[in-house]
Amino acid sequence: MRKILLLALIGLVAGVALGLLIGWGLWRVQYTNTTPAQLRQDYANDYVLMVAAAYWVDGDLDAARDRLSLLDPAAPARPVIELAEQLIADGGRPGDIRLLARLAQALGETTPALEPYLGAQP
Amino acid sequence: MSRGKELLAVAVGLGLGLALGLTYAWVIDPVELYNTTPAYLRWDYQHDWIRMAALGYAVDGDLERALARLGGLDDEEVHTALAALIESYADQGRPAETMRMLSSLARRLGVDTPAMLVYLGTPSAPTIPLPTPSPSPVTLPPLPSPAPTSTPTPFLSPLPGPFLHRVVSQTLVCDGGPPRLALWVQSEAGEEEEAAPLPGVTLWLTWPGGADRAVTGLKPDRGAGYADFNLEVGVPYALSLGEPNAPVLSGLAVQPCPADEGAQPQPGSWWVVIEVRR
Repeated sequence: MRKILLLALIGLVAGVALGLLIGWGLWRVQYTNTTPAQLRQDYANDYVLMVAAAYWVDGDLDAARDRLSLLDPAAPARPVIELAEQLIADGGRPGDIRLLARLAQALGETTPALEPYLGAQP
Repeated sequence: MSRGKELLAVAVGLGLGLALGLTYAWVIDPVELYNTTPAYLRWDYQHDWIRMAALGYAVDGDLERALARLGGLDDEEVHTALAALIESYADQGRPAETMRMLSSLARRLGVDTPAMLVYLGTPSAPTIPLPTPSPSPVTLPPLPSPAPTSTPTPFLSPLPGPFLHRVVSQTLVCDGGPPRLALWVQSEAGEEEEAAPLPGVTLWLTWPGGADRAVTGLKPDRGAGYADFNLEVGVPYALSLGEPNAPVLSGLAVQPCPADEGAQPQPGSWWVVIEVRR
């Protein structure tokens, strides 16, 4: 009887391990309806930059804020400022930085580092 | 018998364990995807991504970057989103340069819409058709409300002919909207035929350092002879038909509307009717 229980336990452990292997590895849940918050960092940066470009073209601040809220609902301007300062530090395109600076300013969240980039065409 | 029981115990344990493992891995603690790509976005976010990639191109003109942003997305989704963006921007009268950039990107990706023809020089672009007699009377599209304020227009000067077309009327429209030039092109009325709206007429609006093009009939809700341009205050414009270098109107500029005493005059729009001679 003890041997049977031991074998059942071994089977159970092996089954759990197999189930996890299948569920997390071989046939994991397929995600096709993700949000921008789940984008890889380089795509997320591109997303923020495109939001700024779209704002430059259409001037729709509400739409820009809604889009950025998908990344950071509590502080929509934060990704804009972070990316702008990162681009400044990395020597990114001035046109990109100007787009971001303008959007940050429109969102009322500019910083001293962005000041030189305000007021010019991208 | 004992061996059978042992195998059964292993099988039951294995089955139960498998069920528990899958439940945990798929339901309780599924793999959470981070570091995804735009191709995994929900369709509405994907459309927004495509629209913004196009607008990004309109701003920086970096084709390589725009194509990289759109790479990996379904071609049909890209085409649909771009076509919708261009049509809606054309309806909104967005600046010609933005429309040119969007149309250029869309053409590069194989998108083709009627609104794009206005901003891309193509062999298939509509040209001035030969006027044909029409039994139906001309129906002018409704003017913007409130009703326009018609005034004599001494500052618009049709250039001397001979031309195949002439300006029939010019009216200052005070509707409170952004200044624009709304045009109606029709065929010349004959002895027995009524004037008829002419679709497909190419109109050029030129100004120092720039030009824009429109084609009549691309806004079907306004009528087959209708086209319009946005105007900027303080810019002198010239209007041509067919080619940009043969103006039928020159010295065209935004004029202020009559205002109450002490009130700031608002810029008016122009409503111009042009007749193409038979």
